Amino acid sequence: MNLRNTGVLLGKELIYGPKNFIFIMAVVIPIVLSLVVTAVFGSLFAETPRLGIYDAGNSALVDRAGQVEAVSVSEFVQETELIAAVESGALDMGIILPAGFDEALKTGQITGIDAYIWGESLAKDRTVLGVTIASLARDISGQTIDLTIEVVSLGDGKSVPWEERLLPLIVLMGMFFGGTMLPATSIINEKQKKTINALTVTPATLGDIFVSKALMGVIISLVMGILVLVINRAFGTHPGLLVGVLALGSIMAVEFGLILGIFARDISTLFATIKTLGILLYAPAFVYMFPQLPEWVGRVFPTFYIIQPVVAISQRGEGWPGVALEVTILAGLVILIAGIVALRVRSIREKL
Amino acid sequence: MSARIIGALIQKDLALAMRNRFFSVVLVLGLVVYIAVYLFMPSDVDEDIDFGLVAKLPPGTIEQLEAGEGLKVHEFEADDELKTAIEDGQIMGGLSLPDDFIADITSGLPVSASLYYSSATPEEYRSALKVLLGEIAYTIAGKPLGVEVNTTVLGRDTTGSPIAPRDTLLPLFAVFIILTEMMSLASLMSEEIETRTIRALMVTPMNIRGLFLAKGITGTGMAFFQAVVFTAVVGGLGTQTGLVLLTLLLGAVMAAGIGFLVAAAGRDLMSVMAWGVLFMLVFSVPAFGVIFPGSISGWVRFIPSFYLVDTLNQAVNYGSGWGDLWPNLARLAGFNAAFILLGMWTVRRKLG
Repeated sequence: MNLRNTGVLLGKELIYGPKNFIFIMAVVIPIVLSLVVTAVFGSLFAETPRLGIYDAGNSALVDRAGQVEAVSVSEFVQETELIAAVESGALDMGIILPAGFDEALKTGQITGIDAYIWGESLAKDRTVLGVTIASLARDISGQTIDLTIEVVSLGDGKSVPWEERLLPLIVLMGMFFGGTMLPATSIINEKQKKTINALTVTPATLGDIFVSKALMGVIISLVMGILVLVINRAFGTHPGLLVGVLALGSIMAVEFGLILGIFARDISTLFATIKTLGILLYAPAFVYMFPQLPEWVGRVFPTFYIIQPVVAISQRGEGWPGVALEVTILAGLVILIAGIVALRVRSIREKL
Repeated sequence: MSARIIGALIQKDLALAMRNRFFSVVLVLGLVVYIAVYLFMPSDVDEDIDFGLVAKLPPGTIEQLEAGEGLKVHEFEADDELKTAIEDGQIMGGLSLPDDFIADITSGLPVSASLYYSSATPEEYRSALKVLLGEIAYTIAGKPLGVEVNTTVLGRDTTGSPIAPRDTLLPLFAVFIILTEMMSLASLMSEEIETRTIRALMVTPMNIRGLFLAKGITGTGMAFFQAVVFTAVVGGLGTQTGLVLLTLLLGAVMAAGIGFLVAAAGRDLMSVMAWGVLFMLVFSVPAFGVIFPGSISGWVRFIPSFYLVDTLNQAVNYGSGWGDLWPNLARLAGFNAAFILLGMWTVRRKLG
């Protein structure tokens, strides 16, 4: 391998790459996905029932409901909007508070409220919303009892918010989308246009060509991994170690891309493969999304050894001793896959 | 236009695709992975709030508490038993009421109670438990609230048979499978245009209409086959079989129509990918409306895939029949005709 040739080829990739659609996608899509996945899936799995309130008067219940963590509250200025929101499923329940609601409660009069329930809301959500409204109304009425609740937390587990559970998925997507697609499409393009054959009659070797494409992928993948962590304010207390792990992960992403580029005959095959194997690459992230899944399930997949240290460093503040085993396995896998790529490149060279 | 010539072209395209062993393996593996992801997700929804209770209550009180939908009470003899059940993860939390709780509360004396929960319990659940405890105390004390709630359920009431999250994802998976084939057909056509084999075909007895028919049948067949296998294995053909099959077929035809359009719009494989991804993103939006009800407003009806997603969702998840869904099918067929004609026109224009 010649460093100068590799540098020239890398320069070509860097100059022409940004004009490539895949390059733009590799940069834009992970950022967009990072924002969309966190917003969308965070709300899909959040178990907070959604309550809508239309207040015809000026009830204190609206403000008090907003302070209850058990429910998510939205206020509506029109009754019809509230009903439409319930009907569409945007709310689990919508209530209409009549004018003079608080006064009626305080004077002990029987008062009525209309409640609209979305048919597909879960029974438990309806219960939580029902008792929350009752509890707030009771507070306003002043008909309370002298009840003291001693709250005891058991165990040393931790409730992990969905933003944190989704981080491994968006980090993997950020690193693997560009890291895999860029070298793979570049190689397929060269194969289809036969420019790879033309390049090999220049002083550049096949090794130079593959290394330049790999470097381009590693740069993009690493930058995207860092960017996703920065956007999510999850850079942790050991940035050097974290960047080292991300760099190893980027190399793995690129190695997968090179293998795909070598094996896939055309873009259709590549696309079909990404469609399939993409899910396998992102599988370990699901172990973090659903903590009830046993950790060994994640360990089966190579990308687990990227994401486990990233999560340990960025979210739990662990240093080298806490991630040494996983990082060593990751380095071993990177070397192993590099060996496979090298063997395939040698085989192609012999064919050429 | 001869059926024999069209048959030969279909046979050629299929043989070329299947001869690529990598593509064939990936095709099967793709379906396996989608099916595995679906089957891996929980098949049911936990509709109840399960909590433990340590209390000496008058007969019938527990039944009275459970009468409200969404509550499941587990009785324990002592606090230690309750704590063990929480620590073992059998229940997320529980309440312990002292022996003289009812006597004190009815005589207006101050009362206290203990609320235990697992430290891994989400914040909203802890908050819900606190509110619940308060309301249970009022129920036990026999202090009704002077509020009459008039409830109206909007839409289908699915209490007792909620739709599992994996079933809400089913239309998204089916749409992804179908639209990915749109990309494959577009790249197949684009390759023929780019390598000028399409012009070579025109000097044979094959005419442009026959070419479109052959390519359309190949693309539709591939998309339809995969979508049917996926839907059948995940149990989507259990109800309204004919309707679901027709919907999938119309979806596959739509994929072929858009495939022509994308192939004509792109200059080369890369730009075909760019247009294809754009179509995929836009056409996936209605499926997110099924996953996150109320998140997408009425404009989504202008996206043709809405009628594919909505029909699949209504037929598979709610058992809606021909009578309810024929307008969707008619619109889908109309969009298909428009896409195919537009696609044929643009490709023909491109060929000059």
